[in-house]
Formats: sequence, structure tokens, C-alpha cells
Amino acid sequence: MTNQAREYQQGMNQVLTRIHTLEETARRQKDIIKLNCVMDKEVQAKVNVGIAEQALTALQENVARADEGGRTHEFTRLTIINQKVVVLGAEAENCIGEDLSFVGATRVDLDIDPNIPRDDPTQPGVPTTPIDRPPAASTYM
Amino acid sequence: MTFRYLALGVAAVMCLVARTSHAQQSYGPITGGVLAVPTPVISPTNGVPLSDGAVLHAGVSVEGGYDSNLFYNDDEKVGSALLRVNPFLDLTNASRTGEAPNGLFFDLRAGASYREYLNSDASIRRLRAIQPTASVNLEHNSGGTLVVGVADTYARLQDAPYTRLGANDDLIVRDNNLASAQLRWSPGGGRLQSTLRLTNTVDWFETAALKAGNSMTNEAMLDVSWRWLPKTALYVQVRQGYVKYLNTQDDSSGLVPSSLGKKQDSYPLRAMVGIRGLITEKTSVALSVGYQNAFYIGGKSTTGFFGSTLAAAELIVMPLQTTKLTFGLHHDFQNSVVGNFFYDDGAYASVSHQLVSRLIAQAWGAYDHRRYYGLPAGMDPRVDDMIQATALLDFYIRAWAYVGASYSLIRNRSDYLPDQGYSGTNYTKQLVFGHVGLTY
Repeated sequence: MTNQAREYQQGMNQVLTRIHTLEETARRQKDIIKLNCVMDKEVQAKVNVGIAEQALTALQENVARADEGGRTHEFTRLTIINQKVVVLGAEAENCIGEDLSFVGATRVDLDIDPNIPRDDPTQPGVPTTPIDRPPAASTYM
Repeated sequence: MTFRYLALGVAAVMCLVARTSHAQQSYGPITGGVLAVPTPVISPTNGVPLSDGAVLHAGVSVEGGYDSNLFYNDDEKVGSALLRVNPFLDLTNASRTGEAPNGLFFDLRAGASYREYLNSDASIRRLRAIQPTASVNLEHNSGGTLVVGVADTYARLQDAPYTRLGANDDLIVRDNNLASAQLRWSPGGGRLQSTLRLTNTVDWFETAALKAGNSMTNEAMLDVSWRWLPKTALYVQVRQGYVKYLNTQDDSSGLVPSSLGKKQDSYPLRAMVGIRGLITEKTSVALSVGYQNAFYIGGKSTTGFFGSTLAAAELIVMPLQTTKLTFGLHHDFQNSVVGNFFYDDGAYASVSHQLVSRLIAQAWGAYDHRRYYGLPAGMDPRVDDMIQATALLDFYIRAWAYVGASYSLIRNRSDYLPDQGYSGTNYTKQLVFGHVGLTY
């Protein structure tokens, strides 16, 4: 759950970066309508990212306290915020008119049959030391 | 080799570890087939968070039991009740699901085993021991493409002497340190994978009669595999070692022929091809065959077609998610403290099963046919047949508390029969323990 939350946070930061790039594009084009539109989305996205950071911190605290209810609540908040930021990113693309040309980073979803063992049996074994009791080899020892 | 079987037994329950939130217990390393330092497996769901990601685990187990043959000698069997206390600390940044994080992973562990004999005989009570262990494991994962890791494991072991009273009655005290550095490279989608590993092993005896056997072993391993299925790979592996004996001036008359005068260094080479991984959803295999040569600079060395051939086969079946069966066969050689080396032909099997959510049963057994070469005159070669078996049953009262019982057997039969009163040839040793433990 924490890993997924961190992925959400990274994704939201990437959206913010992309919106900032779009803002620069609008500035270069000197198109005030596009610029205002993008800046509006950027402000909303920043606010949501700030809320997401608070939710992530709260989530980690709940995990540490083993508070199942609190953990689920914060994760749900993060999921909703992430969806909002993704929508704002798409709207920012629309402001510039590049929505059709920019599809975002390629994302690969991998589903593994739960019956298949999770470990990787193709790895070479870990080094071990044989620790045997030395056999008595003479009446000397 | 003994440790390998132990690791097998432990590995047999690792799948169960991943599926249960309860703390578990595994064992290692061992000496003379006797479980020396029980080391509980930690449930990743427990632990005290120290910082973002770092979790401290701690625990202790107390075992009470009986050893039927303290001195490994059927001619003079001496048994005793004993008590063992095994505390440990573990600091790691593994996730709560037990998975290593991306980037830097660490696992630091320290433990000890205190052993006390409940007996009025001073020659038995002196076998009491504190056996410390410590390990460090660091790994950095760059998105799965490049993984760099270093590890170190130290253990100090004490075992019963060769005789109960009189000459050669010093405890066998041994320090063992295994350090390794590894680089794993999986370019592209990971279909081709290379692993380069360097290991350094120091085997140090504090016992005077065995000091000539103190050694340092360095080994380089290159393993190249091709994953033709996601969890199945064909591989080529080459291992070149260098075994150097450190105390060549010490008296080695009990370890090697007098004509040699000292333990002999060697350059063991092993090259093999094989397959490892899943062949069905519930069945995996590990098959390998190859060339081996001990390359001793003096005395006897591996020879002949079978002596130069190494082979191993292992079959793992998981008929249920909570049951794991393992069968294996192997033929290879090992460097030996006594003599130069021994050929080891063996078979092993294990089964582990989670009966209900909190009751876990495990059993494993192994048979070894060992042929020692390079021994002192009059006993070369020596042939030993060794059987080892262990059964464990643990019940978890809570996720952090368990009770259980274990039974271990080690039986050796040898064609070398010195005067009575010396141990380590023909013996049958049985240990029975009941234990309680706390881990968090």
C-alpha cells in the first residue's frame, strides 16, 4: 500500500512537471489565453499535490501504528487526489491543444498468476559454507 | 554439505513464510550435524519502526531437551539434558510484505546461543558454550538492471571434543567468516542475466590439534543464464577457487600423511551447464552436470571420469499452496579439514506443510556417502555413510509467540575404526527439544 502511494506521488509530480513544461510553451507562444488556462490547472494541481503529501505522511503513521482503518482511509484519499491530478494534467494538455499528441509515459501492467511462486528460481544459489565437524582421522586426534 | 541440507530444510518452508504472518523459526549453521545456533525467521509484519523504512526486530527462544550422545561415540555413549537460550536482533528496511525495496536494501543481524548442560558431571558441564553469530547484507538495485551486493556472515562454534577425558579433550572451537561481493547484470528485459560473485571464507580453529587446518578460501564465480521462460533458465557457470592453508608450520600429523607434512593448498575448478526454474506452475527443477577438478598441489586429488564429473538434480513440487516437497541427488567433492578432500554422493528430501493457519510442520532427511582421500597412512581412503534427519513442529499462539518441539538424528558409519574411546567414526546421536519463543 505504501509503495503504491509512493507511485501515486511520483506520478503526480510528473504531471506537475509536465504542466510546467506546457506553461513554458504557452509563454513562448505568447498566447495569454493558453497561459491563463494552464496556470489555472497548475495552481489546482499544486494544491492537490500538497494535500497528497499530507495524506502520504498520515498513511505512513497509520502503517506504523498498525491502524488498519486509518491506513485505508488515507490510501483512499490519495487515490482520489491522484485521479484529480491526472485529470488536471489532461485538461492542461487540452489548454495547449496537445492532448492527442501526448499520451504520457508507457505504462506496463503485469498480472502474475497467484499460484506461481513469487521467488525467482532462475537465480544462482547463495554462497554457503559447509560447517562439518571434522571427523577423527587418527588416534592423534 | 551438511549446511546445504540444512539450507534445504529451511528453504522448504520459505514459501510458507511468505504466506503466513506468524513468526517462524529456522536453523543454521550446524556442526557435526547438530543444530548449533537456532535462528528464528522474522515475520516482516512485526518489528519496531525506527525511521522511514528501517525496522528493528528482536526475539529470544528458550529450548530444553536431551542429547543422547554428547561425544559422538557409540563405544561410550554419554547423554545429558541441556538448555539453550537464543536471543537475536535484526535491523532491516525490507517492506512489511517481506520484499526488498528498490534502491538500497540492508539487513543487519546479530545473535547468540547459550548452551548449558543440566548435569552434575564436570566433564559434561564444561561443554557449555556461548556461540555468537552476526551477519550483514547490503544490496543496491538499479531498477532490476544492475544489482550490486555485499554480504558477510560470521559464526563462532563450539563442539564436543574427540575424547571425554584425557588426551585430545579440548573443545572444538571454530570461527567461520564468509564474505561475498556480487554484481548481477540483466540488460534489456532481463532475458540474459550475468552474475559475477567473489567470495572469501576464513575457517579458523582455536583448537590446537586442528590449527593446521586453518584455511582461507577465495572463489570467483561467473554465471550466465538465458531465461527462455519467465521463471525458467538455462545456464552456464564456472567457479574457480583457491584454498590456502594458513598455519603450514603447525603440526598436521593427524590430518595428512606424514610424507606431506602439511596441509596442501588447492585450486578447485568447477564448470557446469544446467537448467533451473519452473517446468509447470507447481513443479520446479534444478539440473546440472559438469567438470570438476580439485587441483591439489600435493597429495591425492580428484581423478578419473567420475571423479572429474559433478552432477546435481533437484525436484520441488508444491501440490498445495501450503505444502512443499523436495527431492535431490548430487555427486561432487568438497575440500576437507582431514585429508585433502572427500567425494560426496548424496540424496535428500524434505517436506513442509502448514496444517492450519498457526501450526507448521517440517521434516527433512539426507544421506551422504563420503570417500575421504589424502588421509594419514593406514586409513586412506576412508568411507563414511552419514544419515541426518530433523522433524519440527511449531504452533504460533500469537504472531509473536510460539511453542514447538523438534527431533534430530545424525548417524555415521565408517570403515575407519580406531581404538575405542575416540569419537567421530561410528555414532548415533539423537536430540529432542521443546521450545518457546518470542519474536517481534
